[in-house]
Amino acid sequence: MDTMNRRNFLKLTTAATAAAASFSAGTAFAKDAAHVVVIGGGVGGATFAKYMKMYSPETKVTIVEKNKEYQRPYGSSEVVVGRLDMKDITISYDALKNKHGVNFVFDTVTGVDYDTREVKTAGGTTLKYDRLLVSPGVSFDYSQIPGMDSPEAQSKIVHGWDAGDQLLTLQKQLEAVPVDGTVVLIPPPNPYRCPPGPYERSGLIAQWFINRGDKNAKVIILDPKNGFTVDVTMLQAWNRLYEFNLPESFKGYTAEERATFKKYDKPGKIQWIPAAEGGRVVKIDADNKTVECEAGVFKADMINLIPPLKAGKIALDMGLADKSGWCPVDQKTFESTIHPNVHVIGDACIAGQMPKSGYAANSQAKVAALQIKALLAGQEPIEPAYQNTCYALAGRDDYGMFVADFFRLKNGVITRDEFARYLPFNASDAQYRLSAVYLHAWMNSFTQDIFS
Amino acid sequence: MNYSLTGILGAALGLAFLSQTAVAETANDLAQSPRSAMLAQTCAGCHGTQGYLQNSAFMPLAGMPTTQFVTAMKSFANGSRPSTVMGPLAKAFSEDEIKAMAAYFAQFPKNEAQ
Amino acid sequence: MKKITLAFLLSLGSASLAAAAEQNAQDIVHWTPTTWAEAQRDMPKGNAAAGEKLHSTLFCASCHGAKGESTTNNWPSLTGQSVAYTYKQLLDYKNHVRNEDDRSHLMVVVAQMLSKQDMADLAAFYADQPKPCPNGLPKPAPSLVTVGDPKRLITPCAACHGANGQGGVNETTALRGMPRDYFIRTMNMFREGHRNNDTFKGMSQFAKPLTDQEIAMLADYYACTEQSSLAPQAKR
Repeated sequence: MDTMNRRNFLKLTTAATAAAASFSAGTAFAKDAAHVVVIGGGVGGATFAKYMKMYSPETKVTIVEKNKEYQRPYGSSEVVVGRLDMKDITISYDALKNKHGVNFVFDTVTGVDYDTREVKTAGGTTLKYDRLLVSPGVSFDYSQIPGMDSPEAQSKIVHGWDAGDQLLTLQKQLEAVPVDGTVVLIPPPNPYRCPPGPYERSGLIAQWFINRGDKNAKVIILDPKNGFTVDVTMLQAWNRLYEFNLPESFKGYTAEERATFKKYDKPGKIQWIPAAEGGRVVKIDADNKTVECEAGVFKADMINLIPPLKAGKIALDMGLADKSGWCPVDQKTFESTIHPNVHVIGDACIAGQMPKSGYAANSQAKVAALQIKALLAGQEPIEPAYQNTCYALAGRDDYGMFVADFFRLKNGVITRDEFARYLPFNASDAQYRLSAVYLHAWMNSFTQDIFS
Repeated sequence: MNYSLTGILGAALGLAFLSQTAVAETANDLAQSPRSAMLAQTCAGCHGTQGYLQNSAFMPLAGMPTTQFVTAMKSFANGSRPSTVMGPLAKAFSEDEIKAMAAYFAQFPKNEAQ
Repeated sequence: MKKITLAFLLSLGSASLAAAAEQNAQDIVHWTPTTWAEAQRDMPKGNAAAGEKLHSTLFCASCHGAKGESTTNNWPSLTGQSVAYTYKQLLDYKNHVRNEDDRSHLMVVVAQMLSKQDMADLAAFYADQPKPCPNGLPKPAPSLVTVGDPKRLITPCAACHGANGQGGVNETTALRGMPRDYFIRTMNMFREGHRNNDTFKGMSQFAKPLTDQEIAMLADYYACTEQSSLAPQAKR
């Protein structure tokens, strides 16, 4: 008995001394400090790195990212309509490096050895990890859309759904649309990044035409779906702002609510053709700018196609995705169910009922940081909590809306708490205006929570 | 671990060990529990990391007295305080969860400029 | 509901808010004692019942409390403010004279929806409410309140804001029961020049020499902490 206690005592004392040493060492890492390697410096990867260092300063965190600066996709449709410049959506990694002590390797990942836990980059760097976190964003799948298979077609019709120069291409294409012209916008099928985004962009473009003085220019949305996040708030707004006629097939309103909609004699500045009314696109002719959908053929002056999405290419190459094109994970820790010690967060992972959004990636990153801290210490992961808030504009800069959800893990699946998630149908003018103010305030706050 | 063993080891090992086994749930423990951080960090996307605002349109949460936090969340949840986004979100949390978040934010010094 | 929709549609016809928000700094017309005197003569007679309705439809209660009695440390109490004070602040928001930061921008946005009659109605409603801190301010009052500091040319607070912090003549703010953090923030804003909508440039001047400690002490005094439901638990 005496010996036992003494042994335990020694063991624990050693542990305590080691802990004290690593604290006093400050930012200089103890020899056996855990190393977490992060692939991708977007919303998920950057948030994770910052919070991991905050929760566990002794852990070494290295982000491998190909770009020296980040361009945020959230809110980037405002670049298309010229409300923001590229520099407004470009963010520095300096604070993560200098303030939070995150290491950066600006390079592309070329290999991973899951047995020896090593990541290799094109520049020849080898990084050994205790845990690997992959936050690769999305890639785009044109294979299902006849006419869009060639690089040439894809250079003429761009998505602008991952920031970058495509936003400027869209901006130029929009400016080139003749007076009273037509833009066809094609949202992707579920699941996809930023659920309200394609509709917000449609509204922004309709408003851009109005500001230009066009009376008859229009945006036609050809949709493979029959509804979308914030649809009930968005469609009501369009009816008020853009002479939008509500499709007969739309099921989101009560009869009483539907009766408050104005009916316009001709198609308005925004038309939405859902799948139920033939919105599914069957073929695109990029040269002649025509789109054939089940309802007929549309001639456009500009086409913005957001094709079906999959997990980011690196996740596909690393064998982290399943047949769906997305990455299955233990939704409590975001650890891959395919490769242990590897976590996948953000748009690329399958996260139950959570949407693929910036806020969701940010929330998942914080959950992953706490869980990986526990796992590295040999402890059980704790009960997780997740949130998503997406703001969107109807088009005009002073008409905002949102979706707000809280999620819990139920039977291993991230499940939305069933509460009202939108502004009420009879929301007041003040609520729409304040939501628009909060949208812009959020862009700022959110960016700082990730990168500052 | 039973009480007497905790006592013996605690006496032998001192504070480093005690902090891990303390049973009494003090405000400090609640503030520093990973579960409190887990819940509270979901707010940071709007209210800033640890509740330090980056845009003053939002309510600063760092250093907010716990009573104010709890009252606000309850009144958002029951609708007595009108809101845009907070009503739907506040409904999601249990009383204990609200207290945990309140303790988390209260532990940080307030930024008087906010 | 019908009325709200109608008001909504009418407001959509008004000038774009975005355009208004981009108003240039040089277009902002600050008050002179003469123009403010004219504005007060021009103020419509307020109807408190109409103000109460606006308080609800415009969402004021979300930040300022069910009747304008602030329930937070951060947003100002509107109850007990004089009609002139509330009316002037709303005018100042609408005209961008008061727009010191992102928080006040929320009010700039809301104020675009208001007519002068609306502003007078809201002002009448808040002036009608029971005043905060019903048992009066703590005693004794700090000397900055009663005698000021002549060496630094600081007029006593009470000279304009009243011996009981009830607000004085014209548009002077009632400070009694003003939430502590809002008080500190506001004084910082005046001290640093971000807020400068004071007609007689009194606050802009008096705030400058005050130290952080003095501001915090005054904030505690006017917040009536013991009577406030927001008091930190330790002080109860």
